[in-house]
Amino acid sequence: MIRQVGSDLVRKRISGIFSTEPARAVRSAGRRRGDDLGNGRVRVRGREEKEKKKIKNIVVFVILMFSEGFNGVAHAVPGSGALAVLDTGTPTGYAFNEATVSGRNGISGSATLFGTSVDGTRFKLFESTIGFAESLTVTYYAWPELVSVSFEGTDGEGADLSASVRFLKSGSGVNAEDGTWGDREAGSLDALEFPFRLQTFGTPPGAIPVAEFAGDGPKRAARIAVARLFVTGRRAASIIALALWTTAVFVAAGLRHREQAGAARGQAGNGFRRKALKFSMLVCLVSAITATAFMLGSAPAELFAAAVPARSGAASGEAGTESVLLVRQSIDHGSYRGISWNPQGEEKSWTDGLRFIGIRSPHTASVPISAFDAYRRLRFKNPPLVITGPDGRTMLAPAPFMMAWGLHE
Amino acid sequence: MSRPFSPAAAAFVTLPLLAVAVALPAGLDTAISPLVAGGLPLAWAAIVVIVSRLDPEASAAAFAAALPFSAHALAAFGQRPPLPWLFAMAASAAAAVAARAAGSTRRAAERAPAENQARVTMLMVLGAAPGLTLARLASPWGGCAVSALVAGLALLALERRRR
Repeated sequence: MIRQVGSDLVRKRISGIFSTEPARAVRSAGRRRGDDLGNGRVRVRGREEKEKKKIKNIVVFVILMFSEGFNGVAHAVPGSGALAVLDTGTPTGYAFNEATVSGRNGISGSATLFGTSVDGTRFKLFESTIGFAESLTVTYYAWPELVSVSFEGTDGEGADLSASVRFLKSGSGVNAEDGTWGDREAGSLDALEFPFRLQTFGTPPGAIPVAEFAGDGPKRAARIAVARLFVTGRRAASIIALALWTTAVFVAAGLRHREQAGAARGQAGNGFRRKALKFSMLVCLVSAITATAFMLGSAPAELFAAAVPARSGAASGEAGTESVLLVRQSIDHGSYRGISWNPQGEEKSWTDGLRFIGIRSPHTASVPISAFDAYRRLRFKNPPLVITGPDGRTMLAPAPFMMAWGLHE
Repeated sequence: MSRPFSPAAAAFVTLPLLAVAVALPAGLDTAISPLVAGGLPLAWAAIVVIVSRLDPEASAAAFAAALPFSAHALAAFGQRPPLPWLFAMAASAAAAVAARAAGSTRRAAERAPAENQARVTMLMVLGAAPGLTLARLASPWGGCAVSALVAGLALLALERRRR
């Protein structure tokens, strides 16, 4: 979990409501309308009057709901009887946040958290399947355009459980330019662009001069990073195994050809036992090579990060930066490999902690959220989905190549 | 006339697959369908079988030569889980070879029409299609079982005809 800074940007208003809340609101609205009409006129209880009253009640209910703004209200599915409380705390934009969901009957089965952006786009932010828990801690990524989150799941008795929270923008946190909540750091990340990524081939260099990498600023740096630095190399072991297999097939085919030619001249027998023995050997050999290629073929997920000069001048002319090289460092973290491009020697101040990040984890959930602990802010190109791994750790769900800008501690 | 699995045929099957394995990175940005990842090397082997007019025994050797490349591609590029798909692919290749063998004949007079390229293609498709279809629509293990059944039936038909 990234340390949350820049508080008071968003206020959570209320968390928790019950399934009967909408019905009560309608009844109370209806009573208020009834009082206003009490001026001595005779009330006609006809069918038409009832319909009019119903329409009025609905209109009043909608007006009341809008006047309240549904701000921070967490509500259960009407009629389900399930209670849910969604406590989102004070989320930080461009960071992973935690929320707590609890229900009277606990939570069991699937649990999903959705986020809705200001343009109405709905993103799945968290997904997990749990046996049973009284409360569930949900890790989700928040960004400035996130206006609401909603939880959907089932309680311990199998009933539907849902709750939602709408975020409000506090006056102090609103950006003057675009009206979104955030602070100076969020604003600086907002200005950065993401390049277009095509599948890259080849081998990444061991080092790259900073002037070549980010001579024109972060935009160029990101473009070069995805094209030349964030490259998955080759697995030598699997290629060697396949090359040996190719040679073996070629040699075996040659021997077989000679044997058949000899058999045609009557030099060798071709009995059933001999054939069966050869067939068995072939099956064993093919199985062994296939298993080897299968085991060696899988490459681990990769978390790329390249230090980027925040100012274009830092990389292209300021004293002391001409000869700086970004050097590739690779660290094996078990489920994934961390590949970073950092300035040689001690980190220079010109980077300002800005990193361009790439995550390649298309097969399985391999990169834990804790891998981003060193970043105080992260701006993903698309909001990532967080899931829980078999060991209970929160991880990024497998997805096509993801890109992000990050501010390193 | 059908041909045995010569060194040239072996090179024709394996060298292009090795070149592609060397050219591609260890992993792609996006996981691709296991049917595509594992199926392409075997499809290449099938093309070589058809174009080179390989005999049934040589066809089995060609598919066996391509199988490790299929396993490599499944592990590196295919969606998870890849192991059931590997079995499904291997079983469908076996079914294709068995169906192709069941359609062949030893009689010289009948050999020419029996080894017709279109007929060989159809036989291999008939052998592989049921298992692959079921693997795609239901589960890879189901496809594996159906392919094994098809291979068994094809071998039974072959044996009955030989007697």
